[in-house]
Amino acid sequence: MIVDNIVSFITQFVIIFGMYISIFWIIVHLNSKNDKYKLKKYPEVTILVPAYNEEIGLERTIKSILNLKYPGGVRMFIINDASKDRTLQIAKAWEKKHKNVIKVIDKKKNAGKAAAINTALEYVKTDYFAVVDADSEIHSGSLKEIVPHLHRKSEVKIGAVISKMKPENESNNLLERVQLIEYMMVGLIRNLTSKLGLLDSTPGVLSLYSTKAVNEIGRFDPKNLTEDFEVAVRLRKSGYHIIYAYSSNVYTTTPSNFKAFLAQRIRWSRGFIQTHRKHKRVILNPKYGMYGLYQFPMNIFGPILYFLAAFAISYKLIKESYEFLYKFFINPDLINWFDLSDIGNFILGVDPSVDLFLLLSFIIVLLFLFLMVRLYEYNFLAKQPFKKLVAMLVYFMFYNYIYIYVWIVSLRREIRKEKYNWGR
Amino acid sequence: MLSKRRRNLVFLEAGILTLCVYFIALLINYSLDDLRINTLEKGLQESSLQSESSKLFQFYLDSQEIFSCDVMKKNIALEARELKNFANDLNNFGFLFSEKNEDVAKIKQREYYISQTELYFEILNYNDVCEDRIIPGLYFFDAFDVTFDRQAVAVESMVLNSQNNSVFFTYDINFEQEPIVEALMDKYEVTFYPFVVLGNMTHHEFGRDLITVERLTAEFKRQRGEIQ
Repeated sequence: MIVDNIVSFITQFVIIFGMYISIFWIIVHLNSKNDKYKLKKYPEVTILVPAYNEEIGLERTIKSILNLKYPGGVRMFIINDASKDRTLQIAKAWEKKHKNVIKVIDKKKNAGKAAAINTALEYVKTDYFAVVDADSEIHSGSLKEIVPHLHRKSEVKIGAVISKMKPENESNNLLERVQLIEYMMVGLIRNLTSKLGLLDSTPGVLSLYSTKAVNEIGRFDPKNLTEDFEVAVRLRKSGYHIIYAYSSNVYTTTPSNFKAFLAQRIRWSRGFIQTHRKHKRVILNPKYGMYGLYQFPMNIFGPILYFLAAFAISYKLIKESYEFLYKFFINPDLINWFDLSDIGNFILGVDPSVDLFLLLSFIIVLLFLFLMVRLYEYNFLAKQPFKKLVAMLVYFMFYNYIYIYVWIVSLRREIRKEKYNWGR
Repeated sequence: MLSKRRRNLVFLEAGILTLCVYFIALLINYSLDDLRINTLEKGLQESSLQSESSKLFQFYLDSQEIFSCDVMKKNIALEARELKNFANDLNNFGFLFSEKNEDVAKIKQREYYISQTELYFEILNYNDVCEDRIIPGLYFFDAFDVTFDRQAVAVESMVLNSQNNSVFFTYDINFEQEPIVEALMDKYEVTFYPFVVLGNMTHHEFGRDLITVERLTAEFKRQRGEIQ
């Protein structure tokens, strides 16, 4: 009974808080538009490609950078982080072919992505630099779309601009399709957070930085597992804003099997924990404005809320299924099947303080799905419509359990201070 | 990007709108209360009407010096059915009444307990004069106890299988009890919950554990004389 009361309290809290957050995002969406800017003269940009054992994807990444339709000119630094495969040879071959554009920096000792970027930053002479993961592909128009966000005159200091990420492998199996939904959802949230001026993420797949801002905050943290997130938090702490350029598209390869997927998510979660532990003084600190008072605490509170919601839903589902089966096996006639003629009494049994919220939440979820697909500029159901709808269902119903597993494992490993194995 | 001032306002606006939704929910609940009360009153009226009708018919039979156990049994079954419908409604939305109508819910619950106790005595009278016995049962439970539902399933299943030859009357001990119910609890020495009384056999005689459907059915058949 005590558990029932706790679950009931959690359910009420999650429903009301979830409603608040949903209404909040809808107001943000209605009050802002996706800005697009153009420049008369585009500045030169340096693109950094840190690579460790990337012989499979590197060529594709280099080609996509060389194919950029960017009027300001591009320089590319490929940083080989002591790879054990043919990464260096591939990079050198391309450097030979495009001497004016590509420069290879060969590190003799593997020190991680952040250290690789920091090494390259010593050579960066341009006002802006971008980081592109060596397993990614960028759209030819993407750089032209994001540079104006950073180069234009703005009332606020802008430290970085990020692109819209799309999985290029999206339909081979259920896991890939579920990740497609996740990327779409994350894109929507990032877009809204950016409109709110509280975005704190610069993913590795084409993020453009102000060189001055990154040098000012002490560059990337080589000890952090998610250096791109950590640097974003420091940019925020120093008063720099991060913008989501919804019209700039980049393509990334998502894990195709569960093992690789878990490994990636555990790394991200551990990096997330490391970053929040490192910057714990930001939490509820008015010095950092709404970022410290709302966004940063929400980063922590969000997963906790997720955990509580999953616990409450699972408990109710298991309990009610058990009661149903118990009755069914004792005597199937005991089950009160839903009868349409009894709809009046069914309505009288509705508790509006829960059910009205649930109904509105459902409508809001549908609205979010619509916004998500529209933002993606993606004919979502054109290919494999049924399979994608199933993936959507799996994402909303079961994904949080994987998420919880990832969090528990990550927390355990962080508490035990286990070393991270990159697995390459 | 939203201006700082606008952004702060969004936090406030979202809070106000959430509160509005909450108040709308409360208002809907208030308006549903009237419908719930009407439904319960209608159910109780139907139940009392059935009871009155049965009594009147019995009065007529007595005046004509006609004695019919079949008619009596049929009337008891009809009354039990009406009471069951009323109990279903009470279970379905009796706990949803808003604060201002909590008293109404308590009154309805009390009326239900009185009606079903009346029927219990009616069955005892019937058993005194008719051979085809109806086995009455009393079920005292604590709704906050996790086991009450499991025992209820066994009781309900036995009643379903009894083909109108057993009627059970349920009492949640968390409600203020009628003096007559308290007297019954004293009589059967109800000291723990859930507590079952089946005909002339109390839970003490079954042992303290939950009673299975099989044991209840066997005891029901024994009291009906179907088995030894």
